[in-house]
Amino acid sequence: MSHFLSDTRALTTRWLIHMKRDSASMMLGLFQPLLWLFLFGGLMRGFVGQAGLAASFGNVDYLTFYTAGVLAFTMLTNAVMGGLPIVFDMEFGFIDKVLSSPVSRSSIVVSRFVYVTLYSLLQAFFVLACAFLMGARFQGGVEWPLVLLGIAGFGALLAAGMTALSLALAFAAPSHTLFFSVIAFLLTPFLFVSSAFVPLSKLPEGPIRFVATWNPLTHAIDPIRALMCGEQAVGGDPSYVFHCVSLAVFDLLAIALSVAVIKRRLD
Amino acid sequence: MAELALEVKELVKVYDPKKRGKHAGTGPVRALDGLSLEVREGELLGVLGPNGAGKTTAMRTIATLVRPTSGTVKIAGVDVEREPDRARMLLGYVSQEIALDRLLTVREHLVLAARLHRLTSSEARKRADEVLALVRLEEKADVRSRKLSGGMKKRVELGMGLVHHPKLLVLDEPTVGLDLDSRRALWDFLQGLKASGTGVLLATHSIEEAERLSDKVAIVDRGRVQRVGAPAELKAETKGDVLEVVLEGALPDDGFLEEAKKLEGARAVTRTRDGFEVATDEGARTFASLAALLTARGRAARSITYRKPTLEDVFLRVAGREFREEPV
Ligand SMILES: Nc1ncnc2c1ncn2[C@@H]1O[C@H](COP(=O)(O)OP(=O)(O)O)[C@@H](O)[C@H]1O
Ligand SMILES: [Mg+2]
Repeated sequence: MSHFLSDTRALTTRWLIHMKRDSASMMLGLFQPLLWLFLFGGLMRGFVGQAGLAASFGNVDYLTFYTAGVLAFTMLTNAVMGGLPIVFDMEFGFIDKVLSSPVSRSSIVVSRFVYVTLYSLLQAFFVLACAFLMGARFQGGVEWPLVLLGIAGFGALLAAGMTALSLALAFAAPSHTLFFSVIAFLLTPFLFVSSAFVPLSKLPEGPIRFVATWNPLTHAIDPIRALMCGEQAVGGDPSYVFHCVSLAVFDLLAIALSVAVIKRRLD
Repeated sequence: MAELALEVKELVKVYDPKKRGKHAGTGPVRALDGLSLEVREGELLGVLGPNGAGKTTAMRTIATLVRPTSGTVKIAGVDVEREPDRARMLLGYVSQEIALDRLLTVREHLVLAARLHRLTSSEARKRADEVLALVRLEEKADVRSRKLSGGMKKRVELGMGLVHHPKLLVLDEPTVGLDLDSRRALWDFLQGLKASGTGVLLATHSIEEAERLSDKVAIVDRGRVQRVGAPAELKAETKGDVLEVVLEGALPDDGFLEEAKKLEGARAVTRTRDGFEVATDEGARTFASLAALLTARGRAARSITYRKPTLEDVFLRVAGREFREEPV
């Protein structure tokens, strides 16, 4: 355990150096979720009002409703891209230096998670600040420090499992092209078959709603949304504990899978 | 007698043909076929073999990056299969390709390597300073790796392999792609390293490199050690002489070499840049029949000289083909 912590710190240091030195990508990444917020959020906000759909969203302001989705989706995107440096480490052979050392295999996964979470929180608060300037307001009646804590907590729970899956993919995919293709293929359905844009109860019944119910993204969005907008935005009791446990189970499975894939990678 | 830094017994590696990736669809490849090696502390063992001999596979298996099909590897007495992490503490590995993180400085690389081997932050910083001096990169300590020359990058790699004071340093073709000066500098460095008691396993396909650096050379072909011994020993074992023939004009394409193989006492004939070489057990008789053949064919030789066998000839003898030929 003591090794695990110091190993994780050593590896995380490397990712933080990357963040500092590759500032151009960092800045672009920081602004990326704002596009979602401005373009789709701005568009839908007017539409929801004009079309008299407000009741479908529990009569909360759509921008605030949707910001919860953007926050969770931002963390998801960072997390699924979390394996990318490892893909390049494998292509260029840097990973051999890591794997021929006694460094704990799970600390490889966890160091990426720590980095992704730190970066995501930075982004999340940036998004929140912009949404606030656009007129979004917390309207769930929950104290704001608690809302922020909830966003960070559920975001981190989502990021943990998703980063682990991304690492499993990184270690299993033979090239970065396949890595990108798989993510590009899965990311859009992941986003749309969730409660990001409309509440779960308003999704078409059948396979779509079924998948959305199981989508980890939904389990992060709903509690964040309930904290930001109030219970009516998720159609009733938000059951924080249930979402928390669901995400934790998902995390454990994903981490076990990725560590197994790393260990199996030895030909 | 010095302790064993490395003991490899009967290593076999069969690559799985079903796996995807760049070697997909090649069928099962028996890259190692019962390879055994020993390296003592302070000793440099050169693993000499042509491309495809299985050198990289052997190095990667010893470095715990490839799981052997069968056989055992012990690093300073620690079995890599049973106690991988303890073995990894005792091992430094420098891969064939340079693979540095372009955003990290030289010092950051060394500290990271030390930290990956469980040194504390402050120890790691101290060791990094030591190693910077050792590989003579103090001036470049805070320069990012992508701004370094090839030779400097290789020195960073070497430093990363040494920063935790391993008992065994594994080097896979360390001078491939380096210019002559960097190559010489690396050779000097490795000579010095042996004095510190580190065992070094060095894979190379350069006969010159193997000859210059190795206390012992293991000649590897088709995944097996074919001969092992000090370079001088190996050459002495290989009896006979080599006749070097330099021709006037180009070597004819009319089966001349085929006929040369039938010369009295000739064991093997190889084409050279401006003629050919005949390995023989009976120099004088071969020489006489060679002169006769040249006369019969109306060819003139610019020179015919005797020389003692080199490691290249040793390889030719044990592998039954030229060093640069691909195995069939
Ligand atoms: N990952 C792999 N999958 C399948 N075959 C491989 C793999 N790596 C090497 N080989 C094959 O194993 C043999 C030995 O290769 P290698 O160990 O790289 O030799 P060397 O380093 O001496 O050139 C070659 O035939 C090579 O094609
Ligand atoms: Mg090789």
